[in-house]
Amino acid sequence: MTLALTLAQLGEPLTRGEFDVPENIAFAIIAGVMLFCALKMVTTANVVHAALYLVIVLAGVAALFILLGSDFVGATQILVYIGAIIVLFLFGIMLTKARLGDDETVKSEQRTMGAAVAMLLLVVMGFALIDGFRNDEIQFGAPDRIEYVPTEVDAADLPTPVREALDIGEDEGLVTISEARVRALDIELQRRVPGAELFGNNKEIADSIFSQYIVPFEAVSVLLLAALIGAIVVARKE
Amino acid sequence: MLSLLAVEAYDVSFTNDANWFLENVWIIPLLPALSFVGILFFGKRMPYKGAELGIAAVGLAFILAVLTNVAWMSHRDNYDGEAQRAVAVHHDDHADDHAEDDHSDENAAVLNVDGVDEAVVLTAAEEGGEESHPAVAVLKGREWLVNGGVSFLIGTIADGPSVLMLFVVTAISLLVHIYSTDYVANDRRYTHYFAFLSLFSASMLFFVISRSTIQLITAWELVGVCSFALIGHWWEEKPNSDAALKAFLTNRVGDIGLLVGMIILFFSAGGTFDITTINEMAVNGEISDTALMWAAIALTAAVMSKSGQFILHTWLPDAMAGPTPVSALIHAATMVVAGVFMIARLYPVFYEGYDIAGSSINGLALIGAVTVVFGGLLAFVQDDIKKVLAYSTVSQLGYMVLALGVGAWTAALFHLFTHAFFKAGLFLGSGSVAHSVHSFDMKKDMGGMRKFMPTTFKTFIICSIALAGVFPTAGFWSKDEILVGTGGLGVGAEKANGNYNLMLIMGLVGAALTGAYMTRAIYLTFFGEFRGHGEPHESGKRITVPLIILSVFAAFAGFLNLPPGFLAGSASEPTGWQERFGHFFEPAAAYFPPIGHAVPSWGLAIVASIVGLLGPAVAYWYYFIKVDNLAKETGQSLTELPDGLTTRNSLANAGHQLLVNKYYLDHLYNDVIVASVKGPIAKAAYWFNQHVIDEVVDTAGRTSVKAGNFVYNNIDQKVVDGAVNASGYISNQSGQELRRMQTGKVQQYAALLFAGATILAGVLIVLI
Amino acid sequence: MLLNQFLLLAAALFCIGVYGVLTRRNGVLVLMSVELILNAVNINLVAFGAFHDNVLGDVFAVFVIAVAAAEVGVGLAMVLLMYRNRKSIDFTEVDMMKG
Repeated sequence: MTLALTLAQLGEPLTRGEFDVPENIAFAIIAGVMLFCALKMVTTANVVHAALYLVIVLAGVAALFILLGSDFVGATQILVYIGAIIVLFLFGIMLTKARLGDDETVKSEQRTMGAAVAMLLLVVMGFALIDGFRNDEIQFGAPDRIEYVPTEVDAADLPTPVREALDIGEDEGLVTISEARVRALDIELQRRVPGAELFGNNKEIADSIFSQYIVPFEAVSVLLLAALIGAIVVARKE
Repeated sequence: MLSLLAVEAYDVSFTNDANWFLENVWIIPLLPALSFVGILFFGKRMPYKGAELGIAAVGLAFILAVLTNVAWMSHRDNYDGEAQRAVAVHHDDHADDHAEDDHSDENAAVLNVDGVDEAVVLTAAEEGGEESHPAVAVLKGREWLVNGGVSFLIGTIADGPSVLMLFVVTAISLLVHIYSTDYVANDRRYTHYFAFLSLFSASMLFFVISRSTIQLITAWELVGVCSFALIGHWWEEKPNSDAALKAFLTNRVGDIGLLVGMIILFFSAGGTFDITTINEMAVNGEISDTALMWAAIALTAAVMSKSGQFILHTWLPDAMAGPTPVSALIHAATMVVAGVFMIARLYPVFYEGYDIAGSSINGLALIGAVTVVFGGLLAFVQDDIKKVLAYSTVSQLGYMVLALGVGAWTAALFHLFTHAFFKAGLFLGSGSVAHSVHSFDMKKDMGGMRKFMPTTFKTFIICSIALAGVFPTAGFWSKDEILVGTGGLGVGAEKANGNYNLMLIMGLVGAALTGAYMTRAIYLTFFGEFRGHGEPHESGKRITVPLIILSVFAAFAGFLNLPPGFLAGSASEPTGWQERFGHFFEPAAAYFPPIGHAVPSWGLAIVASIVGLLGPAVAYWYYFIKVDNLAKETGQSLTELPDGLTTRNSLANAGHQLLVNKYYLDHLYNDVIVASVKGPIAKAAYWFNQHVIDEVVDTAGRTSVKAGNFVYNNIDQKVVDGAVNASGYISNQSGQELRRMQTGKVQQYAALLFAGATILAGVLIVLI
Repeated sequence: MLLNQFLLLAAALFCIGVYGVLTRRNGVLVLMSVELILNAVNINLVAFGAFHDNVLGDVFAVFVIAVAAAEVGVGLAMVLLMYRNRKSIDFTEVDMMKG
């Protein structure tokens, strides 16, 4: 028999997120700018303009990251991508003597085929996405969770049947009921744990990288080293 | 004390286990067969050109045959082992000889190699008394092949007729072999001749010990082949090869009857080829009368051709074209009696099929009787001495068939036995004469030979007397037994199988004729003046010694079957030295029908002797007195009276012409039957073949050629080749097209990659 | 917000990036388009991370950024090499595997 025990410490019942107007407007603006600039980037004849359009796109991506509450990633994005990679691109443009001004002419059949492939890809992915994630919503801020926690409870506050099921005397004072015992006796002790805050999960990311994903971290480090050496080897003067 | 006169039904037929000679009687035909092969392969290189091998083989076979006969004689009365029947007997319908087809265990007789299980242990006959001890045949055999549920046995049967014939065949063959070394010396195909003599001996010996009808048919055909080969020995002359063909083809006509008869017997006996089984079933009445009748009629056709009975006898005189020893062996003593022997072997079939018991006429006896008279008549008009003897053989064969037809089984075989010796003696004697004058024509080249060839003359006379049936030579006893056996006109004291009046009369007439034509032949050959040229002289030892041996047999062989009541004993109580031949050689077992045995009478013997001497008397009067006197008067050597009966009387002349033309039978066969087939029927068949059958075939051919062309041009060239070419073209072109994809442009490759991946992903998403 | 907004946006960027990879003649521009693709992927990752309230998405995105940087470095080195060898970085001229 399950006893739902609602303790006084449990807070208000859960609520669903409502339609958050500011975030949606922000998203719409960022998305529109990004799409426009991306399109311009792949169609413009001017190489430098393309690079600059890319900058805007990358910035938009960073904005989205921050919108999603991953400020660390967003910061990393700006630092690495815009700060380093775009610079690299510009160096590359310079070193390959790209003509300033209009440079590119794209062949018609390439364009057609590329467009076709891209459209096809878009259709397939769109179909899959819409079909798969139709109504899934991102909740900003983690919702309150209900968890079983080993908790200290005053024995006198337990209802009599629960207390007798747990085999606790009435006058034992504060008792800690472990999760295992709760599960074993199939009684529920709930506590609302407040959800995580929207911002400030850097700590968790850091914890994650340096404990659980330490190996990929080290691998990426080695990869960067290899790339560094490789680039030097490839590009050095004979 | 009943022996032959006992009409008991015996309960056993055969055994598998007896004296060594009787069990291994297969060795006897094997020896000449091996010598045949040996002579074929090695004969030309041997010092005597193969003759020594043949003589050795036949000599050894003769010795074995004699020993086998001795073994048989001791076995016949003294066998005390187990004996069996081949077919179980129903006791409830044993009394009914004509039971119809409701025998539930006819199949018990099928595949019965070892007989039914109830074996009886016999006791030996007591000394001096032959207490109706059955003559147990010794059967050996093995299953040769099984096909479709039918078992084909190959084996031997050693019983009375077998061992008798073994003796006769090997004896005559040995004498003929020795005779031939002189007669055909320096012949163009000496070795080949001896090879075929060996093969014939082997085949005939195989024939007489055949256990199953299949073996019998095989041996029958084999002896026919040997006859063909030996008649046509000098085939370079066309008449000889014609005669050989005539012999073979006439035999073929009869062989249809043989096959039909054996087939009827096979099916009506429930699917067995075993002769003992078929005989027992016929005796018990387990084969229906109709089947037996038709089988007997069909087999009679075979006998008519092989044993020279009237209508199909025409080949026998022509067969005299072969060498004389061959005629002696094959066409007098052994092969022509194959038909008679077959009747003797399958006697229950004939006895029941022709309903011999209790009749006064039946088909078989009639055929025999007609042959006796008609063959004898033809012997009168022959100039060739061998042809006289050939017709005489036809006539004597008629006697044997007559005897079998009236139920006198022992008489027939006894006559076969004696006839073999004296006829062979006559033939070899004629050969001896011809050898010295180099011709067979009595009228032209012989005459007065007794002065030049005394030994031949004496043996010839003795054998002729035996043939004519004069007391006490062999022919008298055997012919008399036949006449008594007919039971006609009251002879035989009611113990014969029927009362065949007509047969008796015709037999008597035949006896008269026999003596008459032999007298004529003797006069023309040995008396009168020599009409030939050259200096004839007596033949060598190798010719005369066999003649002497044969004439001894001709004189004394008759004493082997003295009738009961002769000098001692009586019909109901024969003594131990009477009827020896019949006692030992007539089967007395469950597979032989209980036939009646006529009581011999002196009355008939005297009458027959008188009649038999009447003929020679007339001939003697005609030739020895009238012709001879006329010859002496005119000083010529005459062969006939110039103003004889035939020249004066037109009816007599017509009869003479009829005889000279052999009753126009040859004309009937050749010019009417054969010509009509050769002529219109053959032409019609040819037209049909050319215009109808060939048309169909040609049309089929033309159609397929056209179809083939069509298929080639349209289907093969256009469709099939087109498909093949097209596939090649497609491969080439598609390759060319696809090659354009390989532009080397990275982005294009990338585009294709992406496109492909997308499509796959789409498929996965949609389907899964 | 709907998860799909971010995902569809990422898909669109991805396809635009594919278009760019396939059609651009200049090597550097191709690399830029590749960057676009990578960023689209990053958006996806982070969105899912936010959806599942899991830091894994962020962590993965960081790694992707690092790898992208390395890749751009090497890629540009190769483009420079190509420029040095044939004085052109036009991808349509790179067809030595033609046939």
